Amino acid sequence: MAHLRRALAQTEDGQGRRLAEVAAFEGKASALAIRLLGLRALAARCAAERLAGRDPGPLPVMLEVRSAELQQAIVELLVEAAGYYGLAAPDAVLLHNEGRIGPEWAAPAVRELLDGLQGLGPTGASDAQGRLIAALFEKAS
Amino acid sequence: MDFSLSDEQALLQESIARYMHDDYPFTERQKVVKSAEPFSAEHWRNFAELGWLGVPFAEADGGFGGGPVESMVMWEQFGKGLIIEPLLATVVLAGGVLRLGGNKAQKDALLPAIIGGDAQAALAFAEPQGRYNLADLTTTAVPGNGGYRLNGHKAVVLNGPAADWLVVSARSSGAQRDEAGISLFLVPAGASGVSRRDYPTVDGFTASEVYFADVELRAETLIGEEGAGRPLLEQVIDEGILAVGAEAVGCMEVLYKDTVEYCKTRKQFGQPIGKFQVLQHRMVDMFMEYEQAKSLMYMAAMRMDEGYGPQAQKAASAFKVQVGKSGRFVGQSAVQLHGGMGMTDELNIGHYFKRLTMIDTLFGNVDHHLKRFGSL
Repeated sequence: MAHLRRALAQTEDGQGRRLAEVAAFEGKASALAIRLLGLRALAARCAAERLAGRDPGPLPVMLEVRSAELQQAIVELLVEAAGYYGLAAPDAVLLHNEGRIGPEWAAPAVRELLDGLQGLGPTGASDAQGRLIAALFEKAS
Repeated sequence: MDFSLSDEQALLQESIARYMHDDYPFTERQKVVKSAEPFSAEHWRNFAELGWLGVPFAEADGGFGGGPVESMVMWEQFGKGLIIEPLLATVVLAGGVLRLGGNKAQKDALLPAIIGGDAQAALAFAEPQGRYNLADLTTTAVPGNGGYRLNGHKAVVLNGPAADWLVVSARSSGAQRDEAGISLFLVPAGASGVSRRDYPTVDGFTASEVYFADVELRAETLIGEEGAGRPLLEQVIDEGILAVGAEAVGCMEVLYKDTVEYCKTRKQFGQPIGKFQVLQHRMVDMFMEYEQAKSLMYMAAMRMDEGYGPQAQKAASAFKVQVGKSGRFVGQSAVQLHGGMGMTDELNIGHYFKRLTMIDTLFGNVDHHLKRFGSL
């Protein structure tokens, strides 16, 4: 998130403002920050249960699923912030021998966006983790 | 309302569909993407011979006089084929500026070569700080000595590496973001003072950062009136939106159909995964998103066919918003329903997804066009 905030503070919107000052971007970034806060609270609950010697149940799996989704949402917003530089192939741009093309955070974000997608959604890793949560429900009932 | 195509339009649709199916296999496309060549010279020649490069140009200029509906018909099929030949950059964008704003001498000099497949062109309109605002320009064209002196940096110029000619937007008067004072120039790519940094794009095309350092331009390189280039540029960009939007609709059709087929055959727990209700619902949603985008494609083509103005602009923005939303949903769903192989290089699914993702960015993303739609 700190990375995202820096990127939004550096990038212009075509009207002379920084993206961090644009309501649409600020709203999206804040929504992601709230999701991150929620995950931190969830992680704290998991840790507390473990420290108390209790089984945290499906919470750690949920933490993993939601963390992967949040990570993807953050890189999506980074790529959106990159504008036209989100079009550049990340490997070629990262390796360009004349120095970087576009903002330094754009190419890694595009790479992460493409790599992270397949783990999400039905049939992905998050689906397997969802099944695990469902199995834990059955075990508990 | 009549959504049926004329005989000529249906013939154009059929001929491109047949070529894409028979002569443009995905494996061949991938060979070109991985090669040092930016596109297939053979396909480009064939496109020229089949007359496709001349469709939008007037008959007086050697073209076929096609309009928005012909563009829609063509690009939907090109989307299914996932072409990497630079029709968008050369014919729709740079060619579009010349078609709408070029004088006879400029058209005579370049359009026959474009239509014949002998010249490549690119539209250099975006700048690093400008995001999607066509008027945010730091590139300047200072009048003097019977011409102009061009200085500046253009970002992500599609087809820049192959272009023989660049159509460049630059500020000839006014402040950085003024709507007025923007002029368009036809610049030879090899002119003294022009330099490039080339790179591939995520979806297999090529682009360049183009730098102009004291490039001396003659007065006759000006396209249209000095300082009045902004409306012309906007119209060409809206025509580009219709083209890439229709291309996206073609991509989405392939993705939802291929995904349905895959889910019918891929088995898990002893049955095809398409039997699982959660996946069936996802595929139904993919279909509905595709059809919704297709409906707005027709709407945008018809509005633009009626004449370019606020209604056409509004329809173009509405279409771009829907394409952005639908393309994202259909693309992501297709990758996810194909599991780990969805993004592999060998399977076409990930490549369609990449193209859809890039189309969302081209000419302004969902947020940009929501705002524009609301302001028109």
